[in-house]
Amino acid sequence: MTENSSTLLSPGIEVRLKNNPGRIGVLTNKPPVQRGGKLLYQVLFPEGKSYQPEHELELVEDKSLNMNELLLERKFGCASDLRRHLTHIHLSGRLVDLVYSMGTTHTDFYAYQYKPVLAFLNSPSKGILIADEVGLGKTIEAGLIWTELRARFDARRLLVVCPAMLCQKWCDELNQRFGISAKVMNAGEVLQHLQQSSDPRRIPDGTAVVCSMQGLRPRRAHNGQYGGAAKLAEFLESHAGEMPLIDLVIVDEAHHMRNPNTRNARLGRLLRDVTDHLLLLSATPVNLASDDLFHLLNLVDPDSFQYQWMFNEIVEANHLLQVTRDLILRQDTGIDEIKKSLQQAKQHILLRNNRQLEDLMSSDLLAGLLASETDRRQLVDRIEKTNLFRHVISRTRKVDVTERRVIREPVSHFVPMSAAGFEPDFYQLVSDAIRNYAEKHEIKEKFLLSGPQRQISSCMYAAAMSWQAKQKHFASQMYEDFGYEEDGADQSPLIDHLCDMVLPNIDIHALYEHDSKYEKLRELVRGHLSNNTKDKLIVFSYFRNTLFYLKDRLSKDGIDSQVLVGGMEEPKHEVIARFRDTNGLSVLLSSEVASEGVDLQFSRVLINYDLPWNPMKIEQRIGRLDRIGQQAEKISIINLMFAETIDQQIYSRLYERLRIFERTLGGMEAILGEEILKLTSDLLIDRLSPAQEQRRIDQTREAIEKNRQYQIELEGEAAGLIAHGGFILREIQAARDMNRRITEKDLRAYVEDYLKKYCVGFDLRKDAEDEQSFSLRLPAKTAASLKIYTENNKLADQTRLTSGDLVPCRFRNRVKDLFSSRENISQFHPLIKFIGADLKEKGENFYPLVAIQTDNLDDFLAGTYAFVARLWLFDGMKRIEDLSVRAIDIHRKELLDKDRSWQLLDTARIAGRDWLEAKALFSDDCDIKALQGAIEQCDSALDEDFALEKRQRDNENIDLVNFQTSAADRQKHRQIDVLREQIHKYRQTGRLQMIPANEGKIRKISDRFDVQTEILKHKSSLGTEQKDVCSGMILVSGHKTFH
Amino acid sequence: MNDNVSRLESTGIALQFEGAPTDAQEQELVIGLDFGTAFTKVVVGDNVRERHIAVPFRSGEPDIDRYTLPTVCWQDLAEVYSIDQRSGRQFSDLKLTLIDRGFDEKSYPSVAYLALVFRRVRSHIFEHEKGVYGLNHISWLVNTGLPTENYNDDELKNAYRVMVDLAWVLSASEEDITEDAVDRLFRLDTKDSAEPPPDALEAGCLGLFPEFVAQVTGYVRSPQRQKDLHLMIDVGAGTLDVTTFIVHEDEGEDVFPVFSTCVKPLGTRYLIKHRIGDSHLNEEGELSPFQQVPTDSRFAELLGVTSEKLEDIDQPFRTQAVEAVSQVVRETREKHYPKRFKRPEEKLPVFLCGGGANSDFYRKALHLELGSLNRFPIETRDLPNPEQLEAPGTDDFNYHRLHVACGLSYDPLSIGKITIPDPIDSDILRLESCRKCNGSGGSHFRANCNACGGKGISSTSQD
Repeated sequence: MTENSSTLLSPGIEVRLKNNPGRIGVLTNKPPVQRGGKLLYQVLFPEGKSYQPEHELELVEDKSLNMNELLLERKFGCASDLRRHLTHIHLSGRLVDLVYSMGTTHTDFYAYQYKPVLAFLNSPSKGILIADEVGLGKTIEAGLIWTELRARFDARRLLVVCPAMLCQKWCDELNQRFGISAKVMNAGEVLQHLQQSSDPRRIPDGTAVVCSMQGLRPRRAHNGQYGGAAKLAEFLESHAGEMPLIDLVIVDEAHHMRNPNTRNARLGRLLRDVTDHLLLLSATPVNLASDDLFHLLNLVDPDSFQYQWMFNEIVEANHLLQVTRDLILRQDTGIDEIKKSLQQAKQHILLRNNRQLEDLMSSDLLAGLLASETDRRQLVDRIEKTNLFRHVISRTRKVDVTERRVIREPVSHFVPMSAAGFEPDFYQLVSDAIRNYAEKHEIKEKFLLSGPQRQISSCMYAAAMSWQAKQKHFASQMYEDFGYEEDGADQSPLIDHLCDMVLPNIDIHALYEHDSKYEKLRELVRGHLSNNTKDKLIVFSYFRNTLFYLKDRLSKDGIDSQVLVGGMEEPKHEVIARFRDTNGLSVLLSSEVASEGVDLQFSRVLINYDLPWNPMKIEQRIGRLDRIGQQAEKISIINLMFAETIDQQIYSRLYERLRIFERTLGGMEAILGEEILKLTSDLLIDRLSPAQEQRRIDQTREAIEKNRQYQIELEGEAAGLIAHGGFILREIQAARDMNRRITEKDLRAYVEDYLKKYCVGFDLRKDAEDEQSFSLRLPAKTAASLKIYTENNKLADQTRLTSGDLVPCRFRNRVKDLFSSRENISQFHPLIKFIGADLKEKGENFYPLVAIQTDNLDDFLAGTYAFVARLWLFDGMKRIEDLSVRAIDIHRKELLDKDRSWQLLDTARIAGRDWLEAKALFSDDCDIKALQGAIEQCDSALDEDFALEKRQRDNENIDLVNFQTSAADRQKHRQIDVLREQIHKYRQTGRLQMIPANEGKIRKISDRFDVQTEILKHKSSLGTEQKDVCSGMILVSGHKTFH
Repeated sequence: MNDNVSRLESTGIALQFEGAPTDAQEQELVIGLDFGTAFTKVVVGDNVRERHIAVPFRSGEPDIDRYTLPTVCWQDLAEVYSIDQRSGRQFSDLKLTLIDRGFDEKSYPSVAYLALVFRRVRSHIFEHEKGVYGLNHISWLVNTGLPTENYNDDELKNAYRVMVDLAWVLSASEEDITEDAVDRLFRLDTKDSAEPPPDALEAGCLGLFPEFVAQVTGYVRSPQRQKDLHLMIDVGAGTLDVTTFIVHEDEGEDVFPVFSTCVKPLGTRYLIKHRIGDSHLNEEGELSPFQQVPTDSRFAELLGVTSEKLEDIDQPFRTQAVEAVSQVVRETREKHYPKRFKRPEEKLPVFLCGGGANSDFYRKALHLELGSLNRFPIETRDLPNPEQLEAPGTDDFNYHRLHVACGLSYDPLSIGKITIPDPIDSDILRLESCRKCNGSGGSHFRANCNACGGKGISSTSQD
């Protein structure tokens, strides 16, 4: 410091240390102290006070630090400067390349499950249809999307609409896998909830509402009285198009909304108009020939799919793109052929003005891209990006998922009924009684009568006992067997009938004593366990009473078992864990509904104690064991049924021939239920001869077989038209490989840096438990600020840190961990949100030039690298933030590509340490010039990257705007034409009084269109911004060095 | 002397980096010298970059041992001192000799020992930190610790001052370090001469601090510090030091009002002596003062007794140790800070530290029995490890052995001061180390500090 400037060193002035320029403090009013001929000043740094020699101090005059000047003066910041800044951007930003949900949920990683996540994030309509084949985890994909929305936008208002029978399952899944505490609500409660949710901050974080589609769908007022659902519908209607009341609506089994004239579809439209994001889940096959897909897409993206003709146009356009894509993938296709094909595609009305295609064709990009297979793949990716379905539908089929499949080994036992136990008599009596009852009462939906029949197929004794106890509700069994639900299916009269007609004629005790099916089960279980003592067997039944009966009997026979049914007080996962971990507890008796969403792959033996007639249910049972994590090469599927019953016929003529047990059924869930319902009522109620019965079953099989074939054809056709998502999958894999997610280390560094800098008196202790276990006590002031923050943001019940007590914590980027008494500090934790908000408010100025060293990295050659990092912002139809990096190996003069540059910087962020020697090493002017030159090279490369990215984003944006503008324009004209025609008619018929109303409508349509066009016009100019984040040097050592 | 050692010592004679430019920018480096009864540890501090570099003395040793140098030296037939030779005449108990006798000829081996240590320290910096400081002119500062109970003993402070000053000058001299060299230097009547030796430490560059202050400096300088009453139990080789203090900031300075202190010869060496008693064992091998105390089960095995019997043997010793702690707590509670003891819901933080802190006996005796001590809830903690301490190869468990040296490597002006509060619950009168001479009272080669008259202590009003 010069003589002149030393006079400026007065109390209160802000100074930085020349040799540690990231350290900034304020001079205190203590007089300087003399030592060894020099003056020392007391400086107050954020972490405390210390004396510093005068020659180390310089004034922080200009807050906007000039990187170049700093470089010339060799003022390098340190590793913590970089770490704090980048972690802050990662955690508080919404970076496009970062998958915030990755690794944070209690789910296994499968790349394909992130495909809809990325598609959804890029969806301008904020809606998507996930049409994966059954069994690929649509619920998980939905949960990941919600997790991503939570992390990026602090979204809190989630509404799940599903069939009533799945409500509990959704609650459990959300809770166990995604740390969301969900509550089942009826229409009235939902209404009340939504009335309070206009301010999202009033909704506690980590909660959700689950409700049944049946309960919510709008009903008309009954006798002038509005029920909950009707009031809800009215409320939703009155808020349509206003500020969203919900952040995300998930509709499970969304095919129930496919018919636009139903109440379900109306519910879909009502919800769409009050939610910010919409997610439809359906395993319905993607059938382009039917209207179903269009109607679902109309819900998801009403702007692009308002009318059927729009949908058809998109199919046509995509077909042309598909042709081009297939040509490119054929290695022998020449450039001219591809260009010609592209030209043809470009003639389509929807692609005529497509900027992305234009860009592709006008540049010499095309020729350059075809040199290798990778180039062709890149070209395909770019064409796929123009696919007009890619933002609205995501579909994964089992054949696309390359996982190890285990062999399924079905064995069936047809158990003869025991005459001693009067089993044949009982069976016959019940069947006859049901038919009689059906004939007498002219029941319309005959399949409803099948309940008791199915019960005796499961277990005669348990059925008889349940009738005796007058248990009459079959709703759950209906769903279990047929995937069908109906309100108020009262079976009391039928049960009364059976009690009167059948029970007096049988000996219930004998059914117990001579239970032939149970005896077979016992023999099988004992046989298996004698050779495999540690094995765990899973026994499924669709009838609760059967399960409890089996438990009782097995126990009397010395075999310990565990029952798992819905509605148990103990959480499912705990029951399963105990069963899995307890020696000697060998048999799990599970209902299929209860086992939904749980993993039973630790077992390799499944026993179907009864057979659901719906093959999809069989598939779901097997799916509990045949999943990722199954260690056995083969799983045994043992089927038990009474011989010479309809069950046996169905098994032999339907299941076996369709090979239900060995191969999956794909997307047939929806149609199978209907076929089976018809078959059930025919077989059970009509009096058919054995030959007729066989024919009837064969008919069903043929129908299913035909349908299966049809589906395969449709799939083949549709697969081409829907974006493959290959490039998305590659992006996901890259994100995972490059650790593009928030890690435990990030969180810990973020919290520690903040505490050290701003929270004197904190106590953070490492606990012995594991690497990331700590106990944390916040000082009173911070605890109080956090308390206010959590109260204002409805996060109060999520942390104990506000108490100022020592709280056991774990840095673990996972949604709430149900099993840990430690508080999980994840990116969703209030402390992280609080720190982000506080740093933002403080407007912390991060130091822009750093010198860092890291030990040998496998992927990078030893040497010195220069780098520049910038934050890009693109604001159009979507707002996108991107952290972009370029690095260069200074001595080899080798510029790293974007991904590798990012990776290098990220490694330095996580594992780097101060490179103190940098200043001395670059003391020579030549060296500093070389460094300056290298940084300039990175700058230029980033400028080019930015220009390229901007062009691509601009094209994408404009294509989307054009597409929507032209669709809106054509829609406007169609609507106005209809109204004009009506006016014309009124004139002709002299009903002139009707004309003004229609003219008013025309004006309204025009006005609405004008507003819409203006909005789109506004969004068509892509707002861009580049912010400098950091530059500097990274030394990659060739061998492990100090520390 | 092997070649490597001889190279290390000769490199360290210089005070500046070889080839440093004449107009080099100045850089202060603080040598934090923990001159312990059994081991000496050194950490060098750069308070601009917030670095604290532990100096390895025995590079082949595992873990913490590489940073600990037994406080022993040897003299060969030519009367040349060495810290590695391990032959000839051995001098140990260097620190105790100084404390017991003050500075006299018996302290010459201490001077020689420290001179050799200083050479090693500089040599380490010159060899390993050239990339960082090679272009600087180094301003050396030395901070060393005194046993807390002796902090007001002017005579002893003077003895330390003389010892360190002489050692520093000697370390920079080209000649061999012999008894004669020490003697000649000591007898230089420098106080009357106009010029102190050119290599002598500058005024204000030698700091003397109570060891307990150094022990907690890392903690006090860390953002984890609590403004609360603390109980510190420091288990050294010789003594068990028990102190109650609060961390407090007064007009921008860290001050530690110390309420009560108790120093008893109940350190690990005395524990070992007590256990050996009349048995066949002696203080050698794994029972030598330079080894960690064996575990209780191992000790029982060595004595050939059961664990229960060992507990019986320990009983009188344990009673004394627990009483030492009880006494301090009692005194603090009754005489100084009763208010704090009215908040039993806030557990009293207790730091158990020092070389013997990890041994079974102290852990058990102090940790377990203290739980019910005076019916006041306590919470035993480890002092947080200074994050900037660079001691590669050391596991977290052993970092604490470098705490004193690390605390001493902070800028002397930034190291906290002891104050003595009086009367109850106030801290009006305080005595603190003199800011001018950093508590050293002056220098052997210069006149006494004119601010404190050579006492090293002043009242706060004096600034």
